[in-house]
Amino acid sequence: MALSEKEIAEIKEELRRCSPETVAAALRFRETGDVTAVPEVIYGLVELYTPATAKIPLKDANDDTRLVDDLGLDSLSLLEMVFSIEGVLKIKIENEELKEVLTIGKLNQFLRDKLANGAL
Amino acid sequence: MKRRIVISGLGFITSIGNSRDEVLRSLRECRTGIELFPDFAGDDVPIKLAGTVKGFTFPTARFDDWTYPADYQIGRDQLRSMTPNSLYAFCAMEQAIREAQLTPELVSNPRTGLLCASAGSMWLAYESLHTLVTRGVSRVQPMATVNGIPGSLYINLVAGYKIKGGSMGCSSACSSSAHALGLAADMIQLGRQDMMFVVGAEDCNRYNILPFASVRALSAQTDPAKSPCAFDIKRDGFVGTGGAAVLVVEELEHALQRGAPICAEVLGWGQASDGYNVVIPEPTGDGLRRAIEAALFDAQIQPDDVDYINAHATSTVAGDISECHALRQVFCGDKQPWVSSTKSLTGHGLSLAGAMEASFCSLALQERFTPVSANITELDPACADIRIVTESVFDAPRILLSNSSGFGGTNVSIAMKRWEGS
Repeated sequence: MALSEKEIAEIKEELRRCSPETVAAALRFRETGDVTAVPEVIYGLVELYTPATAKIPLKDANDDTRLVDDLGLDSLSLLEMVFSIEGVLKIKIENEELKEVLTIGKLNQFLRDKLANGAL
Repeated sequence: MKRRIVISGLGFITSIGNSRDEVLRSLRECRTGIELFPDFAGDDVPIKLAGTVKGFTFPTARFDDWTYPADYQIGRDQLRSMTPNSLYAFCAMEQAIREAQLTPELVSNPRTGLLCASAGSMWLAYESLHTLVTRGVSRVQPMATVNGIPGSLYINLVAGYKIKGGSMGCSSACSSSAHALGLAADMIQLGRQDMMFVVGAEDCNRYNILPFASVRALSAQTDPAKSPCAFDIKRDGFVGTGGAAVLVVEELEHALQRGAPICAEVLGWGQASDGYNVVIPEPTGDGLRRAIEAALFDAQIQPDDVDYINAHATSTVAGDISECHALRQVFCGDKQPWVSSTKSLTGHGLSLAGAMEASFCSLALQERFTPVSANITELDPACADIRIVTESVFDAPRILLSNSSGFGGTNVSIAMKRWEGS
């Protein structure tokens, strides 16, 4: 579905501190519904909210890397990240849905499942 | 025996300087902080001057677009919940902590508290509410409540500095931070705390200043060399400003035991209300008179002991005249104290004013000078019998008062004394 100029501007504004690859992936997902673009968007947003004091640098992270214990996101950063994910992917995420989402891999899996179930 | 209270550290982010040295130089050399304010550009804005805060920029409401002096390191986790006024305050806190030689253990201590005064960031509140109305509840950013309420100042500072003692915000319009200083003195006096941070801070933008235009309280002057001009016949209203001031207020023995640098002593304070009008000061100055008399009583001094008064004097006709009436009634003996308005250099800092001016008074006592009331070319005859400092004088105050008044008819007077080693 073609995005309006306003929608494109909102996505770019939300991701303005992220890489061009993240922005391109977000636009691709929103225009085509291509869920293979989502991990790139998530990587960009995790990168945005990961503090410089992370125990594991994001470049060395894998699916088992924990958002709080390894990357050092605090509860407010998680809230901010979920807020950004909701805005960029245009979905609604409830608190209960996030209880088991502790790692990067689980975050991607959760979003894959949610989007496959027709969240768009 | 009454516990004695001293000021052991100061911090400044003000229109006339972002450090003790800059502020001192501006006060001594009568350098104005007022200029044409780009935020007020446009034919639809009848107000043009502000006491601008230099070294900070806030191009958007998003904190990661803000810039501040390179001397300060502030992590994303702290900045994300801040307002412009709490960012100013954070920088002023850093200065005050350094000047007072406070260890992290003294800052974060059950015996150390914090009293704040700010009207909050009307700008960020507006941005969030505008998002709520136009884009829906789900797009209101997570920090909207924290940075959209007046309490955001103490919320940010208590969390940022791990304050363990009592903490709260004071909200009494333009006497807010004078109340904070008085209440901090009381808390130490009562033995509830040994040390208090007193913080006044305000944003400096169209959202917190321009609403005062609707009550015709703001100066329409466009020449920064002419306004504000408290006590002058040509005054036409106040000029707004923002920034932050921090005072470290401490029990004397506590300060002496740790070898703290002492700036000045807080002798006492008083407050009283006009019970008159929501915005107009009571014309005879009765409320402020009673506040001054209460301060003199609390400080155990006589009117003749007072050498200098830092007047509230915002450069509105009604306010200046009312304050002159109050002064005339209290200081009717042979000795007349010097009187000046430092707002004529800085602009009116609203909730920040009381803490900022008490800090200036602390500098005046310690550095031995009397601040000038700037921009007076023709004294209003209604103020002519008041001993206003229209140009530099050699006298240095030993005891002074700092006055503050606010909407609703709140009045505060704080008595301070030069620290002479005992």
